[in-house]
Amino acid sequence: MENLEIKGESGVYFIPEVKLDASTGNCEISGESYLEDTDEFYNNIINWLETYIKEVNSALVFNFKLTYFNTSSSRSILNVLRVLKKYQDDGGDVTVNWYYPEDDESIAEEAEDYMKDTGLEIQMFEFEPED
Amino acid sequence: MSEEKRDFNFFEYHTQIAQDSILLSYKGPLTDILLSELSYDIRQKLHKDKKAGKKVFSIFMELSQNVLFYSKEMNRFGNYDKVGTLMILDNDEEYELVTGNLIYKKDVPRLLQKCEKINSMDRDTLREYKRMLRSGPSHEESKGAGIGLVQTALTSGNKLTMRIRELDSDYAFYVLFVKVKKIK
Repeated sequence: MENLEIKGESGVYFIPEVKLDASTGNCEISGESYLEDTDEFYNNIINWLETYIKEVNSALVFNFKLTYFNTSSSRSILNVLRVLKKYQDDGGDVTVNWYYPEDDESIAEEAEDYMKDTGLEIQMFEFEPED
Repeated sequence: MSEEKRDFNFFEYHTQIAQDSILLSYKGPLTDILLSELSYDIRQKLHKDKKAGKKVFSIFMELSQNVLFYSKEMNRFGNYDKVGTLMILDNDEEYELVTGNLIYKKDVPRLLQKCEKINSMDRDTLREYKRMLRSGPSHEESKGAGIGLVQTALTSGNKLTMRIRELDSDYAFYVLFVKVKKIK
């Protein structure tokens, strides 16, 4: 199965850096997320996950390391987490790590909210973003 | 609904703002490119107060997208761009974001109600409300998650202020004020 890699870019929109590794099950979304077509972008990721779940069926470690995302992205991230929760409910080995910029309570709170929404256990870590 | 809320004179308000407190002031056609330039400027200008600066940036992104999406005023030429007003003021103790745009008069009660609802909630309730909205089906009407205003209230940590002026039988002008305390 192919990896999915998207280069992070900052212009009129902010495209997060995405690295989904089919051989290790290690996944990461980092940077900033503010997109022209949020659904399309995240559906791409969800499709990859669903394929991985179906074809590879191994452990998944999903790391979120975003320093900014708009409310549209926040809805899409919830959709990603729902896919992960479903996999976990079906017996999949799922770990979700949420890295939030130090001093950013909003982003930290998002993880708490996501935990309530999905029932997923999300490990939270503070990090110092590069400027 | 209080009369005072429905008879706001934005033009008068605008002329009364101290010039040197204006960080950003724009009235005109809005495009994604313009918003990106403005948001970049904001990040630069507020670089020193990282925490408040980030809040202002994040709120600006949500509110400006709202104006771009919901404004009922558009140019009748070119790309038929939506028209709106975006301002950011530096009021010593706080930053204040102000947005203004045309809306349909029939939407006034719903908007006033939404604002009152958000303002009536404490933080925990607001977070719960956001979760509920976000989990629900996405509305055709809103390109975003429909939670921009709720997130704005959460990020700012303050009440929202809304002022409206009914213009004619079909339209009204809608102004939103959001304050973000400076963190020194």
